[in-house]
Amino acid sequence: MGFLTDEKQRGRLITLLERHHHKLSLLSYIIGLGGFLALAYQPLNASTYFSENALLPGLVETELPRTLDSATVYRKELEEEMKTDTKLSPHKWIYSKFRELGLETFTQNFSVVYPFKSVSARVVAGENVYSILRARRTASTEALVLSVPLRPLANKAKTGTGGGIALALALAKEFKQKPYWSKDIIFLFTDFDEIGAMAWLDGYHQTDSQYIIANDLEGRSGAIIAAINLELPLENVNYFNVKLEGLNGQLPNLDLVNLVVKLCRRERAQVMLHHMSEDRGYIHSEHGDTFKDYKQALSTMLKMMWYQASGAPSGNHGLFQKFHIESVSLEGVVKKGQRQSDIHATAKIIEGIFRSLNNLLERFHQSFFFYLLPSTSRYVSIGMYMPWFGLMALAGLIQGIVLWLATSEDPNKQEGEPLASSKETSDATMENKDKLDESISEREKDNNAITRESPGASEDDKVQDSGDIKDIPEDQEEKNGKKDLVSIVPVILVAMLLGWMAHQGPELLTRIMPRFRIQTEDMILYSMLAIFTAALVYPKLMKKKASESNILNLNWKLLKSVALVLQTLALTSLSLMNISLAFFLTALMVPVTTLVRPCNNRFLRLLQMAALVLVSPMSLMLMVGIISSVPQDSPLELITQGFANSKELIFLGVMDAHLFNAWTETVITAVVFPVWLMFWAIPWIDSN
Amino acid sequence: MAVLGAYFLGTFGIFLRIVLMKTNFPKWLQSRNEVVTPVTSWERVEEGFSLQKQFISPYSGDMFHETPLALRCLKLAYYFPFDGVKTFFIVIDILTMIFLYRIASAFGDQMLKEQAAEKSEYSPKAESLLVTAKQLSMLPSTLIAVHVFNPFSIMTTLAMTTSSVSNLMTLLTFYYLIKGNKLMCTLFLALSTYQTLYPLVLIVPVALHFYRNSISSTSAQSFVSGEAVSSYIITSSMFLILFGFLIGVSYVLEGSWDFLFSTYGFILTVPDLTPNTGIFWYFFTEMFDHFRTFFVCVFQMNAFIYTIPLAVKFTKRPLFLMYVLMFLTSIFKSYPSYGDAALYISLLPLWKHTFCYLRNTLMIVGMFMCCIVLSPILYHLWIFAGSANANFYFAITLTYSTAQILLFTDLLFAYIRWEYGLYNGKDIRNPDGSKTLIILE
Repeated sequence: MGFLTDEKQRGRLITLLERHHHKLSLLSYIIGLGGFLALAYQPLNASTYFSENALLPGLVETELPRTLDSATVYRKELEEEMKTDTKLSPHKWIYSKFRELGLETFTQNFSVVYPFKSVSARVVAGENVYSILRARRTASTEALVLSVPLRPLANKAKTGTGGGIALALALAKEFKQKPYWSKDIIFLFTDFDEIGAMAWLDGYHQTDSQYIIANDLEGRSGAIIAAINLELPLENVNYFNVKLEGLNGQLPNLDLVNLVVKLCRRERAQVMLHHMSEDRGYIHSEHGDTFKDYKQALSTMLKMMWYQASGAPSGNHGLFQKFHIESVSLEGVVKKGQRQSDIHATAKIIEGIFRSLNNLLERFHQSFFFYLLPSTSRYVSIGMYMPWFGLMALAGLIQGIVLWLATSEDPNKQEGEPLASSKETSDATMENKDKLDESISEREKDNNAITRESPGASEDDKVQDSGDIKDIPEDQEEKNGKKDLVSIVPVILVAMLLGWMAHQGPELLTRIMPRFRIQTEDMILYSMLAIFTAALVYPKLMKKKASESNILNLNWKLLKSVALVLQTLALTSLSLMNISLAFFLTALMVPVTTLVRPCNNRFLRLLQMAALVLVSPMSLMLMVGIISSVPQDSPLELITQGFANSKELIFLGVMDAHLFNAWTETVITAVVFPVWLMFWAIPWIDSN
Repeated sequence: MAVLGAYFLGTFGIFLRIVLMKTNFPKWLQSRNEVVTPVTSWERVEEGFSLQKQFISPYSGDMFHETPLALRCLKLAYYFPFDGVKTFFIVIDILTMIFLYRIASAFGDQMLKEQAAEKSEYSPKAESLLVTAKQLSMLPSTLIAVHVFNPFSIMTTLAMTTSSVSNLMTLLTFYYLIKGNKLMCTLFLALSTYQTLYPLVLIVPVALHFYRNSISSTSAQSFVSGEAVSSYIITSSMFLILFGFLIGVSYVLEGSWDFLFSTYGFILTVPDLTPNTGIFWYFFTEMFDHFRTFFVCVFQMNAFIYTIPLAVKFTKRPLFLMYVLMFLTSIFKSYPSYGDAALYISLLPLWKHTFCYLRNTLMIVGMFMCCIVLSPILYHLWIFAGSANANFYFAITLTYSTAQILLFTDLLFAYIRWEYGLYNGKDIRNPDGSKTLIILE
């Protein structure tokens, strides 16, 4: 703690900062960004391993018959059942089949009250079916879940899940005969995908939700240790896609992911992360360090981060994580011309996973919860990525600290104190400074003359006369520190208020406004746009208020320093919850916000404003929309599709916030937006 | 002008609190263990009420830790108009603001008086370090402004913790101390000690101050003479009589001594290890039982032991000593919360004249902000998401303690440096004309 008490050391550090802050921030940003992206390079990350000994993956002999005939039978029956009415999910059929097997089977009704009256019916009813296979050896204190979303055939947007249902039935039939289960197994079939899962989990844990009204469950079991979500179509699949990103960027324990990957590999099924195939070379550390491998791994990692950043669950598993239940989704993908895994192989995979989970003695607590995956079997842990992220965020903080010193130093020096100023520490610099003082002193007198003439000049300005002032150029605008602080308070308050409006706006507007004949998606988008454009002109409005001078009269250095500190705080705390969102925001926002400063050059000012608008939350949303619709024929189509996508995205974001309590929308509107608005005021300030 | 400003700010503050009370923010705050501790939770007070209603002693269980008198007085809260309890806490906040205002103006007068008395001893070069009436006229509104925007006091009021009541008691002690009203001062000191025990240490500055007031000439002050000791004894016995009276009344009301263990015993032996902003919980969850007593003593000693060296150092500045002790209590007490920080941060501007010597302002403010933002996040990651663990949350509470200690030492340094400046001149130059670097060793 030497630098806190020892003036000399402090001085040295501060001189270093003051002299090199531009270089330091640039360097730390570039090194941070480079380092972060380099983590996908194979020699820089690590190979996954099992931390939890109890899992014993793949150790047991499979006890399934070579061909699981019941699965094929169930599949055929289910297909016929589903074809009778392609718009309905086969609730009844599943219910009766499980009953036939002799398992405790229940249904749960729930209704969804859509916020914003977004569906004309407003209340939509759904039904979950679930069945509990009681473990013979214990008293239902722990449970595992195999969940399958119900999707009718007519729903072409998403792949069918019929295979999963048939498999669940066949496995239930097999599992029932085994004596070794030590945890109950719950087979869960959810209506409306995540919404049904949410309703079931709410019912299971007896928590309330404002928008999803779930009935109580008739049958229940113990604490759920893990959940596997199956999304398998009726056909034989070619490869499995592992989905792990949960609500608010939460991830399952890495051991569970490893388990799924390992057991897929054991059955010689191809397993991928975000549909990215990978070379075996990258996995086994022999020769995965070519540039091609790096590109592959980087795009896998970025894809994973892309999904994680959205904060929306990528499948049913995401909601289990909300309740401290480790869970992943296994999606079967049909693609022509590749090796197939039939339903028997898939059954063996699932059996293996459940028997491994059955071995668990305690909850998943080893291994990692914070990680990024550049491939299914390589990982980057929190300890590896945090330093690089920290460096990126540090770029802004360095500038913030230096600006703070610049604003707080001058008044102190006027009082002649050896405070934060380093200059007094060495005599050599002292002499130089004295010379400098002389050269500046004349200009200094002029400045003081001006300040004294102005009507607002207070006692503090007079103090300046007697003091020996060193760093001059900005001194005109710099008055007493407290006064400066007061001058930026309105900007901060207005920014906060606008952020709050953006957060509450859509809901308030829909409540107050009469129903237009427009869709809710449009409604939300336009209300957001309206608030955003209103926010864009707020510096101009504040200008008008300061009647005499036509400039925003405040200390931009202080404002920027406060804004930078707040930005760093917001981004670092976000990084703990959702590193991906924090990474993308930092990568885009920090360079622009660190560089922005008032200037007289009209062109430069406009350039700064354009850059700021480009990294504003609204245009980030548009960018996300455009990027996610990238393969399009013409630029025009790209833009229209991108616009439609971002509309959808904002709508889903707001919906997730209401239905699942997702935070992304809140973070963007109530945290990132106000911070951005503070920076937005800076180019409007006159630089003199 | 300044008065008008204070009124305006105060009204704004109340408005802000009323608006926030209407949201669901208070409900969330009540579940935050940085804000609410077992000894200050309103929920537990309500538990006590209902137990009493059932003719069960509230002290028979492990829920209720308020004192018997508080149990009876806090019932008043239900008789307040509009929402009862909420209004009660807003009224407490208004009272806090009124007394902050009064403290600030009384403190200003006291400062000027002391300064006039001691001016002959000061260095002639220290002119600019002296406080002026004009600077002091802004003090009340500054205090109010800090209280209005202080996130800690906002959270304390919104969470409806009883620490806002005990803070008010301490403020009243401070106010009557400045005013020189011995009876009221010892009465409120007894009340706040009765309520939370730790204000016990404040008897030292109180005794010093009343002795200092009683003697006329400042130069002939001796704080260890027989006269001084008898003055200390009078003040302390007044306090002890009042405190004993309160305990006696409690015994009569309760009909047993059970309450002593549930209140002071609970504070001193720290049986509840719910995570909070303090240093106790993490340490004692890891403790083997047979070391427990020893370490409880060691930890509790921290809250009291520093009174002696500080009293020796600041014998002549009892008001600063009082403030510093309040500060220390909030760092070392067994169930600290943001409520304790609310008290000393609201009073911090009293030492505005020494702020030019503060050295780590940005860092301390940054640390406090980090703690406010990160502690709920890390708590969520630990308890709800299960992805982090206790160490994450402990790290942030440690940061909070560190930030407090940094602010404390920084303020202490600034005050000593300011005093040094008074006697040695503001601008101390080496023989060659360069500025001297003053280092505290």
